[in-house]
Amino acid sequence: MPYLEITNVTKTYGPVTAVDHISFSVESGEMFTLLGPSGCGKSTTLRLIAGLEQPETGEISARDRVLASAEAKIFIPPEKRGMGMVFQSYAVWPHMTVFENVGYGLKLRGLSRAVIKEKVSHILDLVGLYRLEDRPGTLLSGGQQQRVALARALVFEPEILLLDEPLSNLDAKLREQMRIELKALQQRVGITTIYVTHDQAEAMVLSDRVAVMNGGRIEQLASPSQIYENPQTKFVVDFIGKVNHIPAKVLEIVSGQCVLTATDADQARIECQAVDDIRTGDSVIASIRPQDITIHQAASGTETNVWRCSVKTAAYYGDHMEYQLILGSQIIEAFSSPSVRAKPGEAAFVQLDANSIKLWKS
Amino acid sequence: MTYQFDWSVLWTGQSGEWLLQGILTTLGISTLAWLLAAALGTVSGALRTVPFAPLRALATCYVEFFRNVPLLVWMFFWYFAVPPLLPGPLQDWLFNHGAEFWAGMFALGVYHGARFSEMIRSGIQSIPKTQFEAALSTGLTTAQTYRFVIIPIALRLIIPPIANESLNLLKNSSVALTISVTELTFQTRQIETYTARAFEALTAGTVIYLALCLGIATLMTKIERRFALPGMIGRVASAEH
Repeated sequence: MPYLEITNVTKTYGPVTAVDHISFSVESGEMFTLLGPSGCGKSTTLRLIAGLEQPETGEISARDRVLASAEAKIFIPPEKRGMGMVFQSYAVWPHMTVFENVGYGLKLRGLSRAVIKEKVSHILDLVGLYRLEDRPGTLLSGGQQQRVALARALVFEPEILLLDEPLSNLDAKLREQMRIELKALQQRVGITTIYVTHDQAEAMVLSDRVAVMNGGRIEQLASPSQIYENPQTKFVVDFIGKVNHIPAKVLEIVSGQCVLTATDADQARIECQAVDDIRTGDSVIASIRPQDITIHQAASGTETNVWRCSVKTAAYYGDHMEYQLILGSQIIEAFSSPSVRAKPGEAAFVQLDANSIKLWKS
Repeated sequence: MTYQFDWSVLWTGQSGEWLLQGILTTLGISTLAWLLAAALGTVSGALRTVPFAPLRALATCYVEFFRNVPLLVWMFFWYFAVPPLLPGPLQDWLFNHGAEFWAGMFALGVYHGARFSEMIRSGIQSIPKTQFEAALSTGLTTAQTYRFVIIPIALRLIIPPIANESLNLLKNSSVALTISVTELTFQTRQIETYTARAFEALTAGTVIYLALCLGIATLMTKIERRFALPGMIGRVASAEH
């Protein structure tokens, strides 16, 4: 049974439709991520769930309790929704110590001092803030402040945890560490979590399911592996990881196999699996990820999907190489193992993996 | 120059008593007016930012009404214009119990309250919106959020301009002499009249105002240090460490 249900929700700011009739549901205990570029409506969606914004159409309900309904004119204010929220900017209260930041909500709920102390100590241990209770909140490092914000959101045992780009202000190394910790914490506490991010790596690592958003709508909602391996729209392909788009024309379709000629790449041949709605003569885009292209410095025996290109740039990353190759006016990005060392200006052979090519009508 | 200084006029006769009484009255009227201004300013400054239009409008009316009329006019208004509107016995009672002091205090308080209000509003508006939202999502009501998070932060941020305005308030209390409040300026004028020693009398007044203001400025600096927000007013905080 879904825990949180969003049905046909819209929110506009003046002429801009931030969230456009979206619907989805979140299961109990799930880590659900809203992923997309800035301005795609992901944060607005989270704010609608938190009660910081009111929907103009549709309904939001949690476990059969209607939190907001434009049609029934119901709106439960944020402080009555029992949700914990963490912001990108931490929003640690500067006039309070770590202990006060975390315990203040409990104090105003009228809990006894002993109970507050116990709960706060427990949650500070859980987020890894030992012995920092008496420090002023804003004198901590970014990572520690984010832990304070997390502890403050978790201490009153909310039913849902809302995270708005919580790791985006941290440096790369800390971000990776916090990502792993956050995942472990979420699993330990078992709290239903909605996570907003523009960082696809974060979404991949953390989520049970990901909703990729664009222009206020959900482009695809699926598990991270499905999103990556089986993207349903061109936007999703573009947004998740790097991808090459190769304009082509369909030459023939024979028993499920499709033969294309790459229009910008000197009419080079591409063979791949056919797709239902593509016919002979159609103009298409063939997309393929850089890691699905192999590079050889000498011609190999096979001929299928092998193109002779010239190397434009070669970048050494230690654990892998990133190449830009050129054929005609088509630029192809490809990753390879560091053992392949082609230099700019040299010729190289690229092989496109037929099973990894996706076709879109252009 | 033939002028013969005679500083003894400041302590012979009744002068010393007058000066002392003037200082006490100035401090009394200023302290009460400051408390009134701080209360009115905090409440109306906060109301100007709340998500409820009628309350915002009310606070805006207060600010615009009181800060856009000269203080002197308010003094006359509260002293000469308002009492006749009151019932007779209350009028008599007021004039037997220092009506000019209360009218002066009231004028000073509401006038500076409107000015405090703008500072508090700017303090609140300088706080990131997420501080407010974090409080709401922690379960605090809007009123609790203002009372325990927003206003405490805003007041700490605006201590320097509030110190400045507090000095103005003390100095503006001298305007109350026009409705015959026997404050410091009134008393220096009285000494001058009785002794014909303008230079000595006004020098005494000047020095006393200067001392009072420096005292308040020092106090406010201490308060500023004491309540500095760690990590926000960095220079003061780090100077202490």
